[in-house]
Amino acid sequence: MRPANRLLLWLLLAPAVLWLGLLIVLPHLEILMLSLRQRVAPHEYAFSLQQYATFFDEPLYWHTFARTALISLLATLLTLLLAFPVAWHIAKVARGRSKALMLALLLLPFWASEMVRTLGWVILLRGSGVIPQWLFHLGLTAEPVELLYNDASILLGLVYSSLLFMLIPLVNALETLDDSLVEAAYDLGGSRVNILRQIILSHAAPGIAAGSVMVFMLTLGNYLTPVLLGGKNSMWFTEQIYTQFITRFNWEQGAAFALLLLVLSTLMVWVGLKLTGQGFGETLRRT
Amino acid sequence: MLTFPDLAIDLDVRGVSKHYRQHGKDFTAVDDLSLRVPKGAFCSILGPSGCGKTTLLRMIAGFIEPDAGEIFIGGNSMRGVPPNRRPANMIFQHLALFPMMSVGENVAYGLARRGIAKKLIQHQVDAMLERVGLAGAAVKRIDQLSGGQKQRAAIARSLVLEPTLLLLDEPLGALDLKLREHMKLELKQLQAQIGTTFVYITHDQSEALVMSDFIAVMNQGKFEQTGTPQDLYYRPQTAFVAGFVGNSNRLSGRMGAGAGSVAQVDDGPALFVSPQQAFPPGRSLALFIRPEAIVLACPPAPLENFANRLSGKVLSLFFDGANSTVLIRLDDSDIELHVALFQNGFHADIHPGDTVSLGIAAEHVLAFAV
Amino acid sequence: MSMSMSMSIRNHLVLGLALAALTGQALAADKLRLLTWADYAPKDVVEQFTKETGIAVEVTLSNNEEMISKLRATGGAGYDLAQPSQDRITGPMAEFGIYKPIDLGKIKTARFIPEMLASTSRVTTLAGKVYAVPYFWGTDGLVVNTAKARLSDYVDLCRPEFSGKVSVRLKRPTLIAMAFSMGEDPFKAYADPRKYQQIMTAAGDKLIACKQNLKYFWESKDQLLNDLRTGELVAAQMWDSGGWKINTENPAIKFIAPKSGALGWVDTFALPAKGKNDAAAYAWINFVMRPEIAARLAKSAGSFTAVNGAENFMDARMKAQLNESFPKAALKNIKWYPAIPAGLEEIEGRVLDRIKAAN
Ligand SMILES: Nc1ncnc2c1ncn2[C@@H]1O[C@H](COP(=O)(O)OP(=O)(O)O)[C@@H](O)[C@H]1O
Ligand SMILES: [Mg+2]
Repeated sequence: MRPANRLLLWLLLAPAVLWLGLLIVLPHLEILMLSLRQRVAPHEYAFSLQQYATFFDEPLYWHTFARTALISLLATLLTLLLAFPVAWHIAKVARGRSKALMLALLLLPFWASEMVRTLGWVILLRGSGVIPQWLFHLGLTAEPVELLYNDASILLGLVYSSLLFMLIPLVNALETLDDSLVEAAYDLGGSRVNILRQIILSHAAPGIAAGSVMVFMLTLGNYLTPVLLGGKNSMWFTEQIYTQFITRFNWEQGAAFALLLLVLSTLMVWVGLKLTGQGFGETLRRT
Repeated sequence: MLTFPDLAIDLDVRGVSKHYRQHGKDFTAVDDLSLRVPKGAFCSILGPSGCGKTTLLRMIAGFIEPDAGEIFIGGNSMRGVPPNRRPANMIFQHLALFPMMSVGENVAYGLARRGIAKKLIQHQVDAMLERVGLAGAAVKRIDQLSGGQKQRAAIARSLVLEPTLLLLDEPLGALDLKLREHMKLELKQLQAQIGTTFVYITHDQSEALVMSDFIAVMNQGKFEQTGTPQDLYYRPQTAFVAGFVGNSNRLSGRMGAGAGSVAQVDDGPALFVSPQQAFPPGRSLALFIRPEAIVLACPPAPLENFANRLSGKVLSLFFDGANSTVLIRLDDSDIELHVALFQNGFHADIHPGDTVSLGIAAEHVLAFAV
Repeated sequence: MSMSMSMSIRNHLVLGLALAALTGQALAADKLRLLTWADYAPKDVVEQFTKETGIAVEVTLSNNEEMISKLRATGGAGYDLAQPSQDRITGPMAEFGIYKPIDLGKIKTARFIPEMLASTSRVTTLAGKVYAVPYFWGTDGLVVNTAKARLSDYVDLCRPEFSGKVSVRLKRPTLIAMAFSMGEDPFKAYADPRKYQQIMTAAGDKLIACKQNLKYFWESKDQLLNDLRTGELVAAQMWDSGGWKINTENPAIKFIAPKSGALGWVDTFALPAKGKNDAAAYAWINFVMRPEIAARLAKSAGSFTAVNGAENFMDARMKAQLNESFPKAALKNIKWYPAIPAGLEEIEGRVLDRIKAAN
């Protein structure tokens, strides 16, 4: 490349590099530095691994951490299972106007903020809310039961707010699947299960990976849904981070937690992509 | 319809129909069709696009259930049998090779579904690839193959299952002209070699003529005529077939009143014709004359042996090697005829503006009612 | 890119920046950035203030922890006036240096209840300098639906008949309240971390044992009031104004001072260390401490102001509610929060974590 061209390239890249540097790299460096110090006296801090030691010493913290990871994983899986048939229907069955309508219906809830969407569930599920009252009036329960404030309600909320982010890459992936591939496999003696596995899933794998990565990261970093729907036993790691930063004034601990969460999400995404045989760059391009 | 008394029938289509609703109206895509294909034959279904060929083929493959009629393959009724259990395999228009698998895995796919041992599959796949000229290509990705190689891989993937019937839906349509010409011959040779019954659909009459043992010409959901390529070419039974199969000069006219078969061409000369049935005088006719059935004399000569003797002027010359033609306008009319030029040196010095004599035998002017 | 074009772009940039700086300054001159609680700066009062002084008010709603965190993040910049509780002044000041001293000379101190001004000054003095003056005060106690439940102290929330029907916050006041009702004096133990640890652990254990009684740890006032209204909750730990608000709608639901004493808090005015418009801050303080304005504010917030003679213009209904909730002895028995020494929150935090994790 000629020097002039290279200069031009750098000029073109400059905004992106600046953005990456200022908004992503620098704050994370700052977080890293914060997490590696400890308060010894007012305005006096020393280098220390204490914050990380506290994380491993205190069962509450790593329990919450593991729990958050597991529920996020479960939510991602459930979202995938739920979204796949819907995506199939939109990509392969629905035509013309009904297809547009379905997409619009899916997008509609996202016009409201996450807060409003989540509070919608609160209104539906709370003891005096719509669903428990119906169940009671239908005689299915002896008294209105509280459906909120448990892990199932957290999962419900997480899956609901993630569906769209799974659907879009799935629909994209399935739309590019040539119908004749499925017919050819069927014609050659493939069973439904085999066609699903070897042809459809294999073709949709990049979309599945992209959707799952996105949903997993969003879920892991979600704060509102677990707090509003989870109640007194909801333990979500982002809540811990918030607590450390805001109510305990313990930035050092909060920074260590934030960094651990970042490492976890990077690791899980990496493992997931490795397992499904997807490249990271390839997946990013599809999100 | 042709009969094949001493051969087993691999495909027997009996009175099959398929209706669709289009724009709120009932539309018959396949209209009460019957067809028998004997073992080992190369049968083509030839028709313009939209005439229902694919619908028929997909009914044979099992992707579409007929509204009426029944299909037998190898003597067994296919009613209620899904595609994955029919002894017929299909080559799709765009081949539908699995891009997520290697060439070898593509060919092995059907065998693996039958639960055959890995070793045996490997062996059969290699043998089949070798047979279609793709030896050693098993490990290649699909996108590493050329157009012709993909064609062969798709055929290998089906043939390795030893189907009773191989169904091909315009598989050459996507190839460029030169490769298509080449693949035509290769497909025919392959079919002759392995002896599997082929049902080949196409809208390209030259593909059908070159490859087929017999052809069913289809139009608007019905068969117009079934026969050997020669039958269709020389003895078309309907105006549609005469026009669709091979090139012809088409004229319109009316049956003459006198004895003998004379037709009056609209705004043109009277011609002795060969009527395909008895026509009453005044009946409107379509007349078909093949370019190579017209004898040209330049400079003009009497041409006494021909029932029809005409004269005209050369308008233009279309040089195309063995397929060269000249366009001639008949004297005293606006009628123009394409005439084949035989490249034996006879007419090497013909030029636009030359005056010529034309001779056409009565049996080469085919007359159909319209 | 051509030379002339890049020049003109640069000129535009410079011009733009200069303009931004100018307007920014101009705005700062007549703008008050107020960091406060919901209901503490109602729209009509803000409008009247702007009309009288020409100073616009930009209100940011928050709570104690968030106020401190916000100021800490910027080293005390971004706001001109904040309203943390009086126990949250000296600790964060010593630790993060987020406030600046108040100049009592610029405040019409005669408008304050003298004892209250004195006690707040005492609690918020660091190195001889006063950092806050009082604004509103109120108490934390119990809201009880007397038609459905009878209870007189925090420990009663743990009685088995209230399973799934009561709520508290998962915050430090809850631990302190529970400790008082268990017969301890946590405020006295502020100076003795070991003793404090012991008291907090005991209070935490009590709450863990009690956890199945709790429908949830409440976060949003509206959610809590709603569930009290529908009867899903029969009792909750809450502050007085919330209790009186719902009492107005349903007289059976009352705010009561627990037998061991309601917890008393005082919200203050404090100047953020890097506030840019102290003059506006003082103007606001003197404005809202005018008796007639304070009366309006007290009514809208449902709390009591530190204005001298406030009882003279107190809303009649509120006066009645105060008297019902606080007989003379109960008023005397209010436990006022002393300043929190650094490090206590660490102890409480661990206990709160333990409660949250318990099943
Ligand atoms: N699923 C369908 N619904 C409605 N009409 C159809 C459907 N499939 C095919 N057709 C119509 O049937 C006719 C025959 O189609 P096809 O069999 O694909 O023709 P060919 O293969 O000869 O081009 C066409 O007019 C086509 O529009
Ligand atoms: Mg077709």
